[in-house]
Amino acid sequence: MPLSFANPALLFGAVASALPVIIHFLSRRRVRKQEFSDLRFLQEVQARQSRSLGLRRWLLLLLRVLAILCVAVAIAGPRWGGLASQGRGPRSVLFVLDSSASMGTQMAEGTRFDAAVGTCAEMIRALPGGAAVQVILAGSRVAPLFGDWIPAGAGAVQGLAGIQGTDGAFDLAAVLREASRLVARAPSATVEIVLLSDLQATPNSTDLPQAVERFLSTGQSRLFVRAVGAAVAGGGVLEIGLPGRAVIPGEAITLTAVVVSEYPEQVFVLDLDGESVAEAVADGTPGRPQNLAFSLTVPASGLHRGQVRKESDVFPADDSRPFVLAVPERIDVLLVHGPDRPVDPAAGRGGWRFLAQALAPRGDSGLFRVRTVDSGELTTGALAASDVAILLDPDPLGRRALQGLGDWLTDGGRLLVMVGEPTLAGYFGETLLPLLGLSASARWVGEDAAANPQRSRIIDARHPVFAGLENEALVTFGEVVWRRWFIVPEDGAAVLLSLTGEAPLLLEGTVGDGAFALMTSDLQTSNTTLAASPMALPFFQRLAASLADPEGRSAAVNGQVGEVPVIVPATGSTDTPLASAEALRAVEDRDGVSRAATLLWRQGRPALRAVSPDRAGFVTFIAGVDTVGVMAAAVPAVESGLALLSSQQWSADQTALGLPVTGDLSASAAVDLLDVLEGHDLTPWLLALAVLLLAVELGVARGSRATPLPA
Amino acid sequence: MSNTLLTPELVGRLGRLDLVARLVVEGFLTGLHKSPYHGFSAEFAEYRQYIPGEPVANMDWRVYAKTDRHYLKVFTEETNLRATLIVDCSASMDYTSDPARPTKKIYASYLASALSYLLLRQNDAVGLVTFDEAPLAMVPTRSLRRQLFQVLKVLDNLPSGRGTKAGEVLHRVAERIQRRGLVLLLSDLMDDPDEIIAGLKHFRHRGHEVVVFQILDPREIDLDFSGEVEFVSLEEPGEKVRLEPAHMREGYARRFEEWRLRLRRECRRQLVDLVEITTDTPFEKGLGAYLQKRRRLY
Repeated sequence: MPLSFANPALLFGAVASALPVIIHFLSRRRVRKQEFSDLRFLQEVQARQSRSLGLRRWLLLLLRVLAILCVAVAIAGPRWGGLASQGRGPRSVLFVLDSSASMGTQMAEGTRFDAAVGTCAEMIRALPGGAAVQVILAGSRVAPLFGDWIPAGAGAVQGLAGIQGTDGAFDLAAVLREASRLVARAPSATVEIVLLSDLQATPNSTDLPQAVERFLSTGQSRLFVRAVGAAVAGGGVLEIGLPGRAVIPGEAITLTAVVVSEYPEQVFVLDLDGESVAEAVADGTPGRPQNLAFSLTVPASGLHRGQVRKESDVFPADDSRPFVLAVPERIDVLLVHGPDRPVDPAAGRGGWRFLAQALAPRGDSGLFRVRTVDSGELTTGALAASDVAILLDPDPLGRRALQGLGDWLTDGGRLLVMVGEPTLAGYFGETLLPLLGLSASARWVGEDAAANPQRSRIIDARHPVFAGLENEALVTFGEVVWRRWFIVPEDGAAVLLSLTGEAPLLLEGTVGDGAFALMTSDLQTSNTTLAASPMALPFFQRLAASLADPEGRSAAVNGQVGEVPVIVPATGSTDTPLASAEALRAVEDRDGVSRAATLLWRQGRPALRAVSPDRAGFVTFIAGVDTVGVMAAAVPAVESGLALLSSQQWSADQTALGLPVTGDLSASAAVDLLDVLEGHDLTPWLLALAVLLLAVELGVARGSRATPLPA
Repeated sequence: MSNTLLTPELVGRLGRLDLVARLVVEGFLTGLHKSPYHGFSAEFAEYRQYIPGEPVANMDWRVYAKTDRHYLKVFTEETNLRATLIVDCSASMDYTSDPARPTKKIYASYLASALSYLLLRQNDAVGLVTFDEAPLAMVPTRSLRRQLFQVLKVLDNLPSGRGTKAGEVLHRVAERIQRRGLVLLLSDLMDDPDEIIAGLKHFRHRGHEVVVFQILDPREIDLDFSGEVEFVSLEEPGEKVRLEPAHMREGYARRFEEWRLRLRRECRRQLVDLVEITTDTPFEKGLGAYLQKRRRLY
């Protein structure tokens, strides 16, 4: 109900408006009878004047009733249009200032965030004495601005000076959690929460329902929203797709980027180490996300800082998106094979020599450094020194070696198992498969299959092993013939390749902190034509690189603002500097501020953690004088300028989530929060109306006043 | 003049009409500088000593010659005037706005009594007709001493009449008065003005001199009532009008004045003297108006 009253009890005064009516009817009852000589003149006059007089009397009665009613209602303190009209008294107002990246959008004067801060300051100034305020900054981090609730006034306004926005995303769940905590400590029972935001559309986090539930259970609060800043045509770089595997220096790779162009044929540029190395034209529909591909040659080993950018627009935070391309120096591969037999060809048992050659065709100068070892000579030390271990048709391992292999895998080891020797069926099924967490069942498909060879089929083309390959390469890979293989249970492992007969050929899974890949055949020419295929080298190199560095294994992190950066330093840089914790620090390139980094240990490997950055850019991890890792902190993709919601839509969305939005302050030009919350005070208007009614009443009464007796 | 003795309120307390008539007339005459009725007839009555300053027209020079004293001849009045009082007894004449004041009918009876006394004292002949919708009582016109008793007897017992049909009654009375004379109509004239004027014309047509005393209550003129009033007609008891006089006063006064103006205009046109008096008016006004008329006539 838009009409409310400060003192509803005083509305009983409206009963006084019945007085004129009572007096009117009482006076009508006191009709005096009077005999008179002749009524002819009275009848004539009455016929002429009684109707107008009667109307005038009723009009007078109405005016008097209305005048008294206006005064009575005015005394009750009426207010119109209040969004939170109930429960006046000392107020606690919690302002939530959206300080996310999209609030950095430039407007005619300042940014959206500047406008939000200005509006917040004006609202605080307009609050009455006795009100308490608190401000939450909601960006990459959600934290209160003041230590506790403080009185509204100059002090609170002063506290807003100098606060900065961030390049992080707005997280409603985090805001509600923080608001719940502050509402519980508010000095009044009711808390008005005012969100000042551009209402950037963000996907709901999974813990939002719990946050809403907690918020609703904490005290009595009302949520208001005020949209800040008009929607502008956004655009920018939303996401960059880096190879999900270790890349090899000199390799031609393709980086993808999801961009939003502002106009047709907009050119996006990829910079690497400060130089433009690739361009791509966005020829899709402006304003909509589209994929761009940048072709480049992988530079030398190391951490390369790059960005995909476009020309500047009104959304500076999203004009470019940084990334780090980590080119590892070397991947140590331990190839464990069975002893050669007279029947084995030159490629060795299971084709292990061919596999070693495929991984390191140029010896140790490439990405992989391959060491081969007979399965009977496998040691745990050799395993610990390798990034990837490959078991190719091994003879049964000794108990200690098997135990060491299991522990190494569980602690984060990377293992590729390839078995295509029918004589190993028992060992493969009963020992190796359980080692990988799979059921002990391996069925050999031999001569029958040889008579009906099958081809392989790629199940997940987006997997790093296949991602970015040309279509011709994929077709070539599909032409490989498979004649003999094992059938193993999937047991939750991901199938990357299968045969046309649906039997899984290549599986991927995890054991503890480790990861494995399992190929159900080997490289013997009697089993497959893969060794003769031109796709053998890229396939195995990609497979080994994917296993070695699926994520976080390099010293580069491609994250976003608000995320806690953790890097695992490159192996070659972990010797001396990390031993001294005082020398560990993280430097943000944006402001050059150096902060201490924390040394962690994960699966026996050192890791460094820094404070989550507030701004997009690079965070360089330094140990002593050496750079041991780099993080690219990008603006969260959800913070693009693509989907600003209207306050009505935002309110409807939250209401659908069970978070009622009491009012929308966006339509109100006034910043008098009290006026908006409690509505416009109608008292002076009603009193003025009462005076006006009385004036009209006097005028009408004068017109109908009794004719004075002649002197 | 002694107005205090002649106010209707005071006179009304006397009760007896003969006393009222005598008091009114004697008081009225005492106040005059000159006796209005001396010299109206030609029959000698007596001598009286001349007072210096008096007209010498009636000086008896013979007596002066014999006695060397100045005496004036005083003549006994000899009437040649036949006056007919026509008193309205309709219900509207029973109205008074103030119980302390006489009703219009009572006021008319007082005034008629005084006029009769005055006329008979001057040896004029007096007759009386009372009416409402029709003639009610009639006292033939005579100049006998006891005529006053006859007239006062009728005036003292005026009935409560019904409605007014003054026009018709005036026609009938005009037909019955054979000899020319003075017609004194005492009425509020609350009737159709056309009918009344027609009746008065009838009298004029037959050679009568007419004086109309229109007797009204003051409240009938100013409608000075407060609050909401339900007026009940005296002539038609079932007829009622409910209104607030204070708000109707202006319109009422305008209509009422239009009516009176018409009566005045018509009376003037017919050479009828219209004397407008209210029941709070001293009787001198009525008597004076009569004497002025009398003086013009004789």
